[in-house]
Amino acid sequence: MFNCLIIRYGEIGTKSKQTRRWFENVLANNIREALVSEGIGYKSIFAKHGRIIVKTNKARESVDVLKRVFGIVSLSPAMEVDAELEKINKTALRLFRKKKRELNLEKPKFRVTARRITKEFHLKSPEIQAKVGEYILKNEEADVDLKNYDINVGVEIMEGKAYIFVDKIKAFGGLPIGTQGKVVALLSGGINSSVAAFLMMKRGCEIIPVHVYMGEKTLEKVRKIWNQLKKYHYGGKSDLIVIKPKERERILQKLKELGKENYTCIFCKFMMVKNADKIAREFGAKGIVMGDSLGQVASQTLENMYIVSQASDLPIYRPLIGLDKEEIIGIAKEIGTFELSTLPEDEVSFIPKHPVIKGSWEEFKKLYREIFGEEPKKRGC
Amino acid sequence: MEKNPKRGGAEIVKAVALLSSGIDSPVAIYLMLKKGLEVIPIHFKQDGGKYRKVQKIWKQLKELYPERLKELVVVDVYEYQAPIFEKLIELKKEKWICVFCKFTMYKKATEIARENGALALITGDSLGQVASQTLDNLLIISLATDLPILRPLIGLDKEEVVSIAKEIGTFNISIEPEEGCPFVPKHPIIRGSLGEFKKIYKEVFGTSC
Repeated sequence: MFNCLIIRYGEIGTKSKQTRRWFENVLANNIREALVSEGIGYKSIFAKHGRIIVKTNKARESVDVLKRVFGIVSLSPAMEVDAELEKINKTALRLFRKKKRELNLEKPKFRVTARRITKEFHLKSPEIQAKVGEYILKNEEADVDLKNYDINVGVEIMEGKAYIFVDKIKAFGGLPIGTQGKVVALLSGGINSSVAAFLMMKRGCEIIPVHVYMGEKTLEKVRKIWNQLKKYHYGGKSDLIVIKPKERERILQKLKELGKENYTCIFCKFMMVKNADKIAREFGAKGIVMGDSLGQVASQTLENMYIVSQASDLPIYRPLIGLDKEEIIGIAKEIGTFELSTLPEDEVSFIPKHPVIKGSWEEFKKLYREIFGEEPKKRGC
Repeated sequence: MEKNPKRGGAEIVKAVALLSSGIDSPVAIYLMLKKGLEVIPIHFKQDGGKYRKVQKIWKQLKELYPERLKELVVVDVYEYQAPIFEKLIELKKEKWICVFCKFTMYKKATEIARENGALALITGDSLGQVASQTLDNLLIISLATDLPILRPLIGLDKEEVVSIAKEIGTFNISIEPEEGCPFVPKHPIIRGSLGEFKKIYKEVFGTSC
């Protein structure tokens, strides 16, 4: 029924010509990679007049995969025919009938929207709309309704071809992965860190996922989460990096000796960021992504965030900072990480009963010196 | 001291925020006010037109969060930053103006935060919208402060930001016509290198950053 897919993109459209071409290339590459890695055959992919066309007989299957490619705003499985009125009419009618059956409507309300992307076709857009509409009315029980329609028949004409479609499926938008460089994302296995990584991917970043080892069960869970996130990461190359921190025992031991177990969580996070910083530098990543939000847990305070921020000179990106718990859970459910985040984890034996709520940098510095024999450095140039 | 039930009775925390007449920063501030922070907005004033827009935006946000939104702090760009920009032009490094502009804003905002006991800096930064908002440039600019930087828009699309701006009534103010920035160079640097930034910084200020 369909022989191609029309792909529309958003923000790319506003860039300079050169940047736009580059963005289109990255997007087309990511599309290619998505289709290849999901084993969906296609004939060709090309960018034309602000859209990308994928020629494939597997339009339906492609939609399910390409919905997850960032930079895409919407997709339409379409029929490409020569731009001749008779062919356009017949194809439009076929697609109209198919959609009518799908919707199971006796007498659907419909409209036709036509656009001439290039202008060589002899009829103007309103004339095309009128002709196609007439043809459908002549052959099918239907009413025209421009506002409250059940079916929208789209016709786009460019370079001697017409593309006819009846569905426009919304995708995530965002920017193509790889257009904004790389960032390290800390994945804990929880709901937040996965959503944070997802949002940075959506804004065009390639993610280097890093997990700080807590135990086999948690690791297994994080692997599952990353495998799910990877479905949104076509075009990205990285795989999960697992760190087993050597210094953990020493820190825990020393904090216990000093009776400062309440600083355990801050040290743990500080060391995570420090490790993430090291990996970021190795991989040329330009930031660290964390799932911090405010007010969910008592210890998520700006005071504690301040201390943790000093662990790296790289910017820390916290895309969840302005979101509510429900919004975060909503995204997690939508992208399929929520269920995985609720899988069992290893029990962490060293979580203190009363983690410090408003950690002090001075106090932290003192403890750090006791443990490592040197002062932590503040972030800065 | 005001109590925030969400923080288990701990007192409310303050943050400073950069506020321009554009669409993004009012939305960033709104989102953090909504999360329960007290916000001290700082405007770097270029001209009366943009300043009046910022005052209107401030009023609009103040209506939504009369307690949490604090008085507007105004810094005169011509006094504080113009000499730096002139120096950059003299050094033929004018393409770095936008990076230095942001860097010095963050620096000033950090001072103001210290004076007022604020613990974080809120900005409307996002990725990929303007040529100068890149991971490379944000890396440099972020080094201006040791405060945590809260960028609530970093994971949002422009469209999402615009729809929040419309919801809270700042969009129509932000899109009122205004003068363009008189300092912005023809070709702002897109992928600034930290090494070069440090070198230029030393030439401009005579000290390391």
